Amino acid sequence: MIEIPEPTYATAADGVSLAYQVFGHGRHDIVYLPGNATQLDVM
Amino acid sequence: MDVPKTHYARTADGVHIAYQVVGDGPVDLVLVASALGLGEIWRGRRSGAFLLRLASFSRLILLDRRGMGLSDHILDREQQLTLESRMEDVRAVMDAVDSARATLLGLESGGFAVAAMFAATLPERTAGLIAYGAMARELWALDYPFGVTQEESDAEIADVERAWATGELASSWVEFLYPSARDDAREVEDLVALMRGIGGPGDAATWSRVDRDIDLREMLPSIRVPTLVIHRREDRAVPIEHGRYLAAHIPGAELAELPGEIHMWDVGDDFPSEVERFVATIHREEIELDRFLATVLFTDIVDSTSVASARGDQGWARLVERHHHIVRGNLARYRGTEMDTAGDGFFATFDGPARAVRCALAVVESVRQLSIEVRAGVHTGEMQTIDGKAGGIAVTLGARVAGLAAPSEVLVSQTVRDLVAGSGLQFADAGEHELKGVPDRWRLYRVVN
Repeated sequence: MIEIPEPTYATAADGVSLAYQVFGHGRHDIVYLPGNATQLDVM
Repeated sequence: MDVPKTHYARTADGVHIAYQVVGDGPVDLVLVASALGLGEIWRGRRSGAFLLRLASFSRLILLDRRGMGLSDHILDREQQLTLESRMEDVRAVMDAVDSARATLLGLESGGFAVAAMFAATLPERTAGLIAYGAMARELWALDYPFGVTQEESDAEIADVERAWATGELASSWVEFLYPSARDDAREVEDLVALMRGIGGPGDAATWSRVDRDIDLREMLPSIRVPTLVIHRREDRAVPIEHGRYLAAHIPGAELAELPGEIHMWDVGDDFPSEVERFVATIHREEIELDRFLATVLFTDIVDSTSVASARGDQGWARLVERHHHIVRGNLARYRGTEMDTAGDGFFATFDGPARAVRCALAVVESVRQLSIEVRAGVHTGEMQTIDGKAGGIAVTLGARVAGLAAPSEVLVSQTVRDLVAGSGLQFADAGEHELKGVPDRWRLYRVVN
């Protein structure tokens, strides 16, 4: 069973709230940008 | 718990609304809420059981309003979250499930506001109206002393935006809405999941502001369907005075004061039991279908006599024809119904005040190409149909408001302003006026474009 991190929100410069999750502690940051359809609660 | 299948209905203005149907009872019951969250509601510990309880005596129809939960989130400017657009959401879902008439159960301020607007505007589609933990307006006013102040509300909304879908906000809500469950971790967890499922922090702040800016007081007397107001006597979130106010101002409304302080709607069986009792007492024949809430729009060409004499008979006739063509085009676009043309003026009705105002603005703008100006007035009130003709004091009032408008100005009554929260329309105070043939003084507003 994978430990699922809590989604948090960031606010973009134009005021839109964006939900994100952070996994892992590696040396490099990888920003995962999938296609159009994502739902953090279901992935 | 089995999650019912989710379907989508498409509204007249092109938004997809997610809905679910549970139960096969003899009456249709639509649950109208500010925030339901069809994806999460069945996972909650009590909410699923509560819904099944309602569905034990009804065909229960659930929907996520536009911009929320499983419904379309991306809305254009004219599809925003106004009372009338949320009324369209309910109508589209009822059409999709072939529900000719339903009882609307309006939960809390936002849900009830939509249900009330629907019931007053579309009595032919409404068997009955039920309010739970609801209010006519959220904000304090001299003549509405039980509301919260603008500052308190702003602070609360800022908190919602800052701490949305966190344990912190959820705990403070549980403390407030269901104090005896304050130490229950699952309660907080469910609430966090529900928040996350219905939208983001910016969405939540916007919804809260739209609901906060609604004022139903002027339209309550136009609700002509059997109505039950259910309120807990010690409700900590929405004091009982709000419920008593609603019951006192909706004609013939019944008030059921339930014991307790818990605002949360899915705790206790006395609430659904009241709903069950009430729907069994509703009889068709009680409803008056010839009186309903509508918005009237009057437009009039400025200085028509001098324009007519300057252009000559033929020129004037051509001008009037082109003017009528432009007005009718806008009526079609904003779904207005032409009631009458009196020479150079139009009288039209709408089932949503924001659409009537937008139509008026569009008419004012588009007739300029004819080198003429119009004045326009908009009012929302109770209409009566007599032999198929629209009448009533609301019609006289609308005509008087238009008469006071300056060239190229759209003037509206206070009722219009109070019902278009969320539309983005801006108003400036145009003072109090006495209107010929209508009692009282009326506060009017100029639409600032």
